[in-house]
Amino acid sequence: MSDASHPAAPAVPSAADGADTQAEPRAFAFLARFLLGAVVAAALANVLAAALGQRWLGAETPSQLERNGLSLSILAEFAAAERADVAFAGSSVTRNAVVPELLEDALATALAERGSAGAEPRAWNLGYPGGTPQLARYFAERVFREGHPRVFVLEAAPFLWDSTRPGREGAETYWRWMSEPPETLTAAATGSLPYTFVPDAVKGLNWGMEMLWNPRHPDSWRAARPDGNGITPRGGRYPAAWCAPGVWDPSRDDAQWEENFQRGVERVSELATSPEWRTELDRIAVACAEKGIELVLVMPPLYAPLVERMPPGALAEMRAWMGAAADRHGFRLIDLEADSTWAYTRAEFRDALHLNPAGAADFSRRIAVEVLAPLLADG
Amino acid sequence: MFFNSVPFLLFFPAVFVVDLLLQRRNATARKGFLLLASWFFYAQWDYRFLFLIWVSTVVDWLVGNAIHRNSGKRARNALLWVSLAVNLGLLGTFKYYDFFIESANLLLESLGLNGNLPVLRLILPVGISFYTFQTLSYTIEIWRGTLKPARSALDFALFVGFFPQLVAGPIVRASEFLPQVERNPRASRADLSLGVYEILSGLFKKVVIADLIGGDLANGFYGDPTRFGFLGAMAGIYGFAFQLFGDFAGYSQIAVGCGRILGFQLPQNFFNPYMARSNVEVWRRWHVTLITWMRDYIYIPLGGSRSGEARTYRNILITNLFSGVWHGAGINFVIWGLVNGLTICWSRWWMIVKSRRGVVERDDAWTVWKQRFLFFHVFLIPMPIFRTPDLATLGEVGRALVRWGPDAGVTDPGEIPRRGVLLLILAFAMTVASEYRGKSIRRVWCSLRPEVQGAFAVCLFGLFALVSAERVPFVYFQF
Repeated sequence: MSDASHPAAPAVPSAADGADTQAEPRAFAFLARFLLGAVVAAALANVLAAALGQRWLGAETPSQLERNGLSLSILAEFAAAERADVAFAGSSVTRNAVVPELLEDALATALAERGSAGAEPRAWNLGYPGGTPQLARYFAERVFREGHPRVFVLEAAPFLWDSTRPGREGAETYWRWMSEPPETLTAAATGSLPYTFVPDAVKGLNWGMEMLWNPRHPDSWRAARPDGNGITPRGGRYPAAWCAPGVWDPSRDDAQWEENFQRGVERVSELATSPEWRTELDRIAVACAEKGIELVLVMPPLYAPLVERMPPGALAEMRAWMGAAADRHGFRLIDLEADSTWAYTRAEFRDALHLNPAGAADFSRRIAVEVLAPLLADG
Repeated sequence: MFFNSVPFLLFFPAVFVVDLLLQRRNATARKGFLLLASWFFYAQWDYRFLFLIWVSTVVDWLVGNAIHRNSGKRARNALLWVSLAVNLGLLGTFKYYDFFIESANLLLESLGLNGNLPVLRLILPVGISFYTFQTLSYTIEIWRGTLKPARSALDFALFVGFFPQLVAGPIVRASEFLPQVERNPRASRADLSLGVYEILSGLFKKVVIADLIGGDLANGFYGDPTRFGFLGAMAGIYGFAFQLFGDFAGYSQIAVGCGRILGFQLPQNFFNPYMARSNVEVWRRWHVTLITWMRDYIYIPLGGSRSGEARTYRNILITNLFSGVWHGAGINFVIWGLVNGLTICWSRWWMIVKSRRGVVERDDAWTVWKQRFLFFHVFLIPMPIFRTPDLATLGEVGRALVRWGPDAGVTDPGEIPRRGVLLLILAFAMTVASEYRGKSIRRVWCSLRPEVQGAFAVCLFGLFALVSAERVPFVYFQF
């Protein structure tokens, strides 16, 4: 600090830096020419974007799907993949529970033990926070094709699938999100997005930015987000590296535990098997049957103190209804919640609803060995 | 209404066009329109707090005129105290009351007394620290006899409320602004070009540099330092340095650009502070309008550097303490201000020692960059104090910095985001380019045809739209 006169450059920027300030102001002319340039550039950007025709040029909308980590490019890669043995769909419970890479390793080993050595199974986690049965039905009807995937594992926890249930807080928002994706999803999944005029006139720049940041993976710059959104190439919240023993410190979740637990309690207290869920499940079962996809309904293991707070009889009612649906359509219902060997403790949960990486690693390996390997080996 | 929001994208062009139509026809109507637009702009945040601006405006307008009319020293002093009491009273009530009461309660409890003094939990009105300092400088300058009162209440109200600088500076002096208002300024072609340049440059700093680096590196680290080891901590600390710079310098540039397009020249607030070669110089380049305010109204009245070395150091510490407290009501800001004061004292002492030893400062590239590297990091040292919400988190930051080896960042399995690191490099490159080629870049920009500028602008706006999934408020709004 000095009381000498300020030594920095002049406090008021000098117009002499640029051009003559004495010129007669012709602001409207300037404005008109400026806008002309802007409009022409916007139009050119559109033409360029159309010419490039990359499927993600148009698909890369700031949709809630993208932001929450179910990247459209993951769906597109799923649809374009030569092999897809297993696809999981569900809510954030599924997104947090399945680590495709770990599941594939465990599945390959288990299949080898069953005589299918050399198999390189491919698994995808299409779980989505706030996911709805409508979205799962959309996958089944529009994204899946004949035998692709071979097994479709659908999360069977209706109270986690009720984002759009009338009366639920934020239901309208969820509806809006869900109303957003069909066109872009279809286009992304088929890899042939028809170009339409992009309201954001310089969408084409996205291409350049993607290529700049990582030419190999168009989703990389989003993948770099610290919350892990879209960080795994085949979906899911946790990269396999996070799941190595000792990497994740469960105590980091302690601060929010109580608050999150109470949120979970509020959710289960309004437990209901919504009519939408029942309708959609029927349609999912039909679509899978038509495409030769083995549908498996899996009730995930829940945090025991949370289950204790569910309305009396609600879980039993749900089980009865799902059992009836399974009998009607002939799909499998696997109730891991009822199996005490699958009971997870707080050490495996990051909050009352979602598994942490340690829990996800265990879940992924066990479901590969105990549920999927027998199915795929038989098939 | 934020500068980086769609409403502002609609608001500003509309104001610009109406202002253009009025400026040649009726200067008073133009001023009135700009004032109403400014109040509308502020009301978008919370119309109730317009009242505070009006109080400050009316009081200082009346007091300024009264001081000017009065020649008696005692009356002038009394009037000045009225202005100080009202302005600092409002600022103190809304910004510092709870801090002091909570501190007093803690003190009372530590003494075994009943620390139960009531807190108010008031909302901090956006921009109060900025416009309060503006109106204070107006009254003080009239009291000193270095400024005449504004010609009209409208001129003065526009000086206080002019929307580009209303909520987060730069802190404009009446001596800079009032002559322009009285002149009914019009933007030349160069002003328009430079204004657009400043806005685009400021938005780039804010949306691309500050928000993305903040999101990728700084927020994660400061949110939970326990997850990070040395590398993650350094990325977070560097990240916050550029986030803070990009955020505030970006805002200031947008403000300057908006003013310029409307024909007003507002003072620049930042001059590449990370290119400074001494700690004293850093503070001549960082938040210049605040630092010069502190210099003129606190440091120099305390005696400046005219009363011996010991007093000079005392004055530096006191001034920086005020600067810290200006930024926020919290013990961390107090400590931050004091640490900054100490580093400036050290830097000054070191310069004096070198001068006495007859050390001649070399200007070769190695020396220049060595000094820049050193003083950038000296500037960085107190930043975690500024950023962390409490001393416990600050301790965690320190622990993260010494966490090294295979277990470093054991709970931070994600890599340091590559995009964040790339943007850090970009931010640094931009700083260097601006230091060495800033004028050339502006000159080239101004030489472009308006059509090309428009095309460039639309491309940049597209970039901003693409990278900003969420609008992030400006950091300095909280001050």
